[in-house]
Amino acid sequence: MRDLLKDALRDADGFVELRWHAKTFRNVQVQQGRLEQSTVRRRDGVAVRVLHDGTWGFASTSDVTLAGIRRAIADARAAAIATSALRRDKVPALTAADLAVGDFDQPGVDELLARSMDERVGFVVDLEERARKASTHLASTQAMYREIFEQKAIVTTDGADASFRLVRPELYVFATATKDGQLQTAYESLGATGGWDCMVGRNPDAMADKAVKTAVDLLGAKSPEGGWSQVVMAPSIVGLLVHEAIGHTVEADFVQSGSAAQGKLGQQVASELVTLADSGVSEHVGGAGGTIPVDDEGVIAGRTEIIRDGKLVSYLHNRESAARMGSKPTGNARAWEYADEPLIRMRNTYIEPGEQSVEELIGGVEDGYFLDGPRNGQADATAEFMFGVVTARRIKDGKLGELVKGVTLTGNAFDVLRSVDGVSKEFHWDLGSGHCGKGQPMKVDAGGPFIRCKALLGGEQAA
Amino acid sequence: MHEGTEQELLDSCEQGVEAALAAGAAQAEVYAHHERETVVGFANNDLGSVAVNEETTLGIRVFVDGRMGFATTNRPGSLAEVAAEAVEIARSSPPDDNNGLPEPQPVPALDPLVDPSLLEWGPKELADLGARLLAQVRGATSDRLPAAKVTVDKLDMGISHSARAVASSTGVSAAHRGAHAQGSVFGMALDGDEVGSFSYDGDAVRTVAELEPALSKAFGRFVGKSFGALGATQGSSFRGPILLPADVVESFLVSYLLHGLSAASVRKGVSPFADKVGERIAVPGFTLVEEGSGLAGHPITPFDREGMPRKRTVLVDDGVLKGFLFNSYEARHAGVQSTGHATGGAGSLPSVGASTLSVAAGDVPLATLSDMERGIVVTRFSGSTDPSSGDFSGVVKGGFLVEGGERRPVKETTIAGNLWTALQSLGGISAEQEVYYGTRAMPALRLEDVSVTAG
Repeated sequence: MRDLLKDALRDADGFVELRWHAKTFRNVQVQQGRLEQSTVRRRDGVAVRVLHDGTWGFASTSDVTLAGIRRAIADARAAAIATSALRRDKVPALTAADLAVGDFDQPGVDELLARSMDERVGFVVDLEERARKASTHLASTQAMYREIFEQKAIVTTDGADASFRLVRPELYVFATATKDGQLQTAYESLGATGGWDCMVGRNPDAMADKAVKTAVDLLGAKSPEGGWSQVVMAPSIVGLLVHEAIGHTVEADFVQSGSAAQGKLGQQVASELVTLADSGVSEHVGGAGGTIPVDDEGVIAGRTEIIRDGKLVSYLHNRESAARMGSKPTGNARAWEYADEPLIRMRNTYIEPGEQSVEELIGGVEDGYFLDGPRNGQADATAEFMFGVVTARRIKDGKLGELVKGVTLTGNAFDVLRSVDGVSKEFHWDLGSGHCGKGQPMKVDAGGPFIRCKALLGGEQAA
Repeated sequence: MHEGTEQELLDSCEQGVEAALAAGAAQAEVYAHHERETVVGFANNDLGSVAVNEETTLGIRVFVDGRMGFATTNRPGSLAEVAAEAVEIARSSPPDDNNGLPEPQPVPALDPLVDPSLLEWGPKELADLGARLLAQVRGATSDRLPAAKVTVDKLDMGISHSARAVASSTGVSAAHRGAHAQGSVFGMALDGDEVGSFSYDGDAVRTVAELEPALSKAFGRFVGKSFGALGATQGSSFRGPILLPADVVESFLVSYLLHGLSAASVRKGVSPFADKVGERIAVPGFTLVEEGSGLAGHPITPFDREGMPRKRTVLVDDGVLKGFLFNSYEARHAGVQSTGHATGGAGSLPSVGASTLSVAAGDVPLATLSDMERGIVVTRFSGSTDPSSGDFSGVVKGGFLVEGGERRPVKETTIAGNLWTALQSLGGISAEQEVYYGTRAMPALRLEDVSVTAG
């Protein structure tokens, strides 16, 4: 495929970037003993970006032939020419980048693709049955397996010439418990980059058992009291914090629009205990769900330190933002499918582990909560964040207590990071399932150690 | 795209059905979607990029001995291969007695929904309009904060010309073509060092004549929300009412209500309304309707994802639950007729949902609803809601505290409560109703006795 793309670029004027992008999605879903879905979705094509007179033109085609790609190049160029007079602030000359050359296949591809549909379906049927039989208080259980097989070839007129294949399996178990007309739902999930064994190695049976237990336990749980609280966050919630609360505000396109991280490079924005990074590599522990070897501009996707010992040291860049801000591209340009333009997106975002144990962190809390299980999250330009938490346990005098339900956490991201007074030595990736949304979906991961900090809990007020 | 594209698409569907039967399927259905789209994107207050995309996607659903398989491709030339793959998937799936395709039903004829003037627009026309709208947004001022300005992170303008077709081995055969234009804006207001909470808005129309007025109105709302988020201070903690403006009602409440009114949710045991048909689930005056083939003046494709005719369906009438939404599988399972609410596209199996929705206007002027002794106006909600239990908890963004006749923006304010309890005690439904994207008609709602926590 790289040869075909290079052929299409022969005699091309100016900067042209071609990305052949093929995705195969598989989805097996069983609910209440019924196979709801067993599907495969294949989509591939070539994306074209042309830079003409400081203006981008984009086109895509599913006609992956020399003629089809050349037509798309012409369409993209025509689009840029038609509108370049309207662009005031032209795209500057793209700075040199660490452009990838070669094949960068990721592990586990052939092993996963060799599994039969029978094996995938049987696995999900058995897992759902295990969950369904785990309690007599269940209204519904569901197990879902998703798989993405992704292939790319990226070639540019200034030297990128790379290809790779990777696979990302995901697994979910949902349980809805019921008692006296009340319903409560809990779930467990995982998402990885790697083969089948990478997924089953994370103990799916234990996931099913935990989802059911949490749903049943939530039936008797009360809502928390709202207000500021000291909290210990599990890696899944740390992942939400670093992704939603910090990560989006340091994406250079959002910085340029005026996010709360603008103008803060070099400033102390967090506790000195916090070093926070985003990487295309699965740092510390393998299989992170946002792993990429090369981004969609052909830039090698290495590690970018965003906060070092509490100081903001970098934003996340694509080639254009790096050129504008006098920085280096950081390998963060990513597109969901071939017909999508690359945007600045995160990969695997995390806080570096510290020295303490999680028991020490909990032991140091007089009155607070232990938070685990991400529900959802959202960032804001103001650095105010929101995330929903599946389970929260009260901590009283250093000991874990009763479960509370329906917890939402908010606060100013930088204030919360400044309040961090404990970072554990344990490390987990725990946000690899689901996807990030920014106009297009994207597979990412996030996590780190357990941390102790302060945040605002949404909860009940007295009548 | 040319006249007759929908017939060519239907021919491809019928070829796909033949290929699937030849591969061993007992029943087969092919749904196809062809789209040509031009999008002009502005980023960071300037032209960003211009994109042109065209694609055909086909989804093949097959049944073999009561077992279902589904495969989809964007390469029409590979239909036979994909059909064979769908059959292979079916053979590895367990059987289900309710699996199968619907029998055909007559679909009302509808001319293509295409404004010829819209098809003459290309990147330049879209970019010119986008630039005018951007200038309007950027030039907007606030009386309250004279130095404040709105910054646009993203503004997209697009025209889409699409065709849909579906054919099956039971004789379903339907095709239609349409075009629409849409625009959206996302950004925030800045005042010196202060950054306001982000806002967004947008609209979609079918004709050139409607485009600029509709987007001017939507982007004007965006400006109002953006400026409104500046100068936010700490609020107060209490239990009291919240006001949901019309453009928040669906995302905050109605979408979760619809989840419970899907026959699929009832079957799966996750609907809180499973045994409540005929019972009161909301205050008198609350009426929710799925409008079938479109709101008045806003027609849509007359058939659903399975090629069944869309039907107007009253879900909640004056507070009383009347029924659920069905596709053909759910209808067969429940022993009823499909209500024509199979949703989805060529890339997915048919699910169940609504295409056009209305909540009836009430009889309380918005100004009266907004007159709260102490309450919160929820301009945007960022939080979590459990669709089964109805519990919600989250942050009010760009919202206002109304107290003692005054209204001020607040930050770090969370709200928590239960949607199903709130439906039964709504404080009022506004007499004013707004239409969004041609497919949603919503009034404002006031919910009572919600927990409000200030940071």
